[in-house]
Amino acid sequence: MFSTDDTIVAVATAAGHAGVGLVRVSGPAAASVGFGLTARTTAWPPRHAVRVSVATVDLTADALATFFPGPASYTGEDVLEVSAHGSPVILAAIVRRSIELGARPARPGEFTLRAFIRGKLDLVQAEAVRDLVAAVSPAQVRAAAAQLEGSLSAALVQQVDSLRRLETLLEASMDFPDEGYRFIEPPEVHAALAAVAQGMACLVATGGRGQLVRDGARVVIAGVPNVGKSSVFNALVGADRAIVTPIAGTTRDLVSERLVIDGALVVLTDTAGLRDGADVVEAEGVRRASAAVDTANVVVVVLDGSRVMSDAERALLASVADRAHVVVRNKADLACAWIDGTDALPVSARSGQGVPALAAAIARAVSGLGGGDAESVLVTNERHRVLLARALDHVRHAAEGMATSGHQLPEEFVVADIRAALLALEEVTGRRTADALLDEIFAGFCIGK
Amino acid sequence: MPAADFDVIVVGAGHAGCEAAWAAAALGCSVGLCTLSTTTIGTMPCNPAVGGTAKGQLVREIDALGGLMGRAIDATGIQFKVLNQSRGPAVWAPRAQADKQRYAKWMAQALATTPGITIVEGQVARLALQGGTVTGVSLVDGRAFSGRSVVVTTGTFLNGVIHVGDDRRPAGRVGEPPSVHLGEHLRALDFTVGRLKTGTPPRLSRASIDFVGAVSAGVFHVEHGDEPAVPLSFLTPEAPRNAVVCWKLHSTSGSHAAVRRHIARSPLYNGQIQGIGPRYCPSFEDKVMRFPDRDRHLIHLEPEGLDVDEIYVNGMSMSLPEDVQREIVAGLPGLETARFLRPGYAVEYDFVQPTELRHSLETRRIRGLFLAGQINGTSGYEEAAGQGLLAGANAALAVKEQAPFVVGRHEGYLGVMVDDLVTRGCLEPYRLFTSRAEHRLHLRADNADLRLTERGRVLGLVDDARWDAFEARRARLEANRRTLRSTSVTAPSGAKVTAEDALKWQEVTATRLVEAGIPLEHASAGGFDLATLQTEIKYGGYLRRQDAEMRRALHAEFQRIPDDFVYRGLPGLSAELVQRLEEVRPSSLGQASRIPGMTPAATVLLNAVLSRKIDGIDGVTSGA
Repeated sequence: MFSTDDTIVAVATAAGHAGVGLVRVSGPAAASVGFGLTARTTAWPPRHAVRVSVATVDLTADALATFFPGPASYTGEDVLEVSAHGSPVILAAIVRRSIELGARPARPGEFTLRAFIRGKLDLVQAEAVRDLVAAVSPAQVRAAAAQLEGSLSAALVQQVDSLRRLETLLEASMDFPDEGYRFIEPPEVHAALAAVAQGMACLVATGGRGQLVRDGARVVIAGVPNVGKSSVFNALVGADRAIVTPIAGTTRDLVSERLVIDGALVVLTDTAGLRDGADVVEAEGVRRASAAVDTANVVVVVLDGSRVMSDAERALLASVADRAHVVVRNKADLACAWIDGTDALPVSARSGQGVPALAAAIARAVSGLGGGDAESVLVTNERHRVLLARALDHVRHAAEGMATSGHQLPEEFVVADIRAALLALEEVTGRRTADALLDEIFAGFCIGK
Repeated sequence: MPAADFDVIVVGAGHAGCEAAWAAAALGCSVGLCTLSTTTIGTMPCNPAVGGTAKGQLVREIDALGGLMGRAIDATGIQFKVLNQSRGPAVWAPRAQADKQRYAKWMAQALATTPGITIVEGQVARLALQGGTVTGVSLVDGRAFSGRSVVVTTGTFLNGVIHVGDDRRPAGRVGEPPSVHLGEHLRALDFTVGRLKTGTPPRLSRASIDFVGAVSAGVFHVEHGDEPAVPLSFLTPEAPRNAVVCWKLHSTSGSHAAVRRHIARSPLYNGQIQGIGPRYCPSFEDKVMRFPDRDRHLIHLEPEGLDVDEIYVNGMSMSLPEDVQREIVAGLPGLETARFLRPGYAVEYDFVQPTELRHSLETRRIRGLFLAGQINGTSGYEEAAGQGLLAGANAALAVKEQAPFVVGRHEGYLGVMVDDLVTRGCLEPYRLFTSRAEHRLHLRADNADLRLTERGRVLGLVDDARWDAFEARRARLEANRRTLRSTSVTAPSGAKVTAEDALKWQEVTATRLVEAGIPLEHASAGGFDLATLQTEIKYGGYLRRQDAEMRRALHAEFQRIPDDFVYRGLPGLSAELVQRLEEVRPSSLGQASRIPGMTPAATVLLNAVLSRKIDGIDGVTSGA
């Protein structure tokens, strides 16, 4: 419930203690709010940072103010950005003072909504802003920034153009039969469809990796009891804790942490509830642990280097053999009871020996997941992936129809598939969209962007 | 309300006017049909054919609603052909060559025998208005008629000017005076009026052409009708007869050189013609000048009737001077000695931007005034007839104070056409194409009755005879579906499958199943029964998917926008877009989204405002 023609304000940087914080004011009163904040009386020089002193009831702070006159601004409206020390207290005081001066607190995603409504961003870019704001790992930032610059849009436009060209030629054949020829021959249609399908399949394939970049790879520590799984878990979390947030839905049986390991976002899960014994609670724990292993992207198998390997451990190793995994020979500070020539990493969770190497091994395993090479356009948004996959289905359907009918599939059915594919792609590029979808997107924004 | 001379007055008796008069009369109204001459009712001033791609489907829709065109052409056609037979069923398009004189005579007779229609001979000069409502018409000769609705279908007559080289004369059709008064009157009423151009080719004497010689010399190719011929009307009980053949030839580089030599004398190229012509139907000058790398263009020779000598030179619409036209034609192989009957010409005429109209084809500016046909910027007999039927029916419904009859884009080409016109307006003469339809697989020639006849029946357009025939056809279709499901056949592999599954195989047709002894009923002459059955089963997957898409799309069509919605002041809408929206006054969000220049963001914003998701904008809607 908001209007789109008044002036809004919010802290644009993430909550928490950062060096510098940014308050953004957007709307017709942006300049005058700035005058009130800074006691400045002369016009703002466009797009130039000006040193100001912001006085509020509680405090006075040094700040840099930059005025962006619309439409050449992020939202397309007049925008004032005030950078100050990142203290939440200072930033909140600036926001409060702006509200006293006539601005209203922005709602989640409202700056981006305005940019979208004024044609400054297409849908893909709008969604990328949300991803960028929410990004916690360098890989996420790279992927979101690439989308913001429109590289996904550009990659899609290429497919959309190919399909449009095909559609045009096929339509011409159908609507102008008196010309007595086909504007495009069936084999060429088939080849073009196959080429588009291949291009789209590549994009869709990056979706798996994009998903990992966005949500984090699920890395599960597994092993028989008393091999030191929890110690390994704690060593990894302690050593590389960059950002740690509690994961909703974890049970007391499974402990998960979200952390950045060597630049990759992972959700690390310790199957700590797994102990021997057969009571009901323990059995449930075992069940959950094995479920976590089953759905993991990477399994870290922890073995006890000081004990001879058990049959259960051999079975566990065998079960992860054809999946992404890392084997840890823990308790490397104790006497080694076995050497089997495997690539097991010697680690001492207690002393910290080998933990950096383990982190690097996990990051390598994560980066090997999913399709697409690291430099390609990444589809990191689940909605994009689903729509791309749907479009790809339609294109493949048309190509298969051509193949199985010996190129006899009538043109209007080929076009029906092409149109359906285009409809899906245009939902990604934002040319045709439904309102419900936008509700979802804009509700997903952080305040301020 | 005092008694009027007529419930509905129709101005013009071309293809739009004839259907309009019939539809209004069928709905029980008294109709005054004004025509310049009682001898030119249902005239075909251009090509001697009805139907073709998208147009054939449209004629079937007109017929499904009870209209005249399909029956008229079946009764008077001289060659019948389904276009696009090498393609799929959604683009199969019936077309027929007409005997122009017989067609016009049939149409005049049909109107004369329709109860409630009075033919008024004379030229309408002005509309009678009271406030913002039309109350009748006055004629050039001083007569006046009162009417409660008026349908204007003046074709190319509004300020019409005919060009043959530098010879330009005011005319609606060759030899007929234009409607200058009415044209000026509409401009004075502030309607947005534009200027379009169309053209027609020269006519040759059939007797003077040695067809046999030209065919044996290999320069003409004979084109036969289909056997059996497929009719345009669902009511035609038997296959019509192909009475003539047509011929195909190619233009030569010599004729192209002649065009280039004299191009400065073409009113299209020397600035004499301002109106915009149709890109899909270029003049011969245009073909030669715009496609210099093509050394030949296709030309069809079509007889204009059984008892007339005229041959229509399809593909050679021209406005060059007569002497140049003669030189060009004489340079064509097989036509060296052909006698030139009359030259082709270009005609410029006024049209009213159809964004002035509601979906009912009533003008927003004047209540009770409906426009149909070329006055709305369209070209083609079929497009005119379709609009005439809708405008006539809606004029009658307005008299009866009933809700207008609107066909959705998902229901028929009628709906696609009207929505395109009132939403996008016209920059060039509008012609229907199948590619304009989002739900093309559904909008087929074979199922026009299944899509529309029931709606026509509810409205009162469909009489008992047509309704009975339709119900019988629907029963046959249902019986055939049951037969297919309950009959088993042996596959080449030896396995038993149902006939329904067998019909899904590429090489199996419904006709083949009938030949194999499966008792499928097929009573209609056009093969509609088997065509519908086969398409439904063979392409069932595609049709079901399109149905689902159709249902999704309908959502936005049901999101209504009030007539008095205020766009000015909505944030995020450019001044240009506000102006477009105010011109078009879309009746639904779906229509708004189809307005040229409408961005997704603007559509989203509009939807948000309509759903009152954004507060503070409520104030800008008045009385909604």
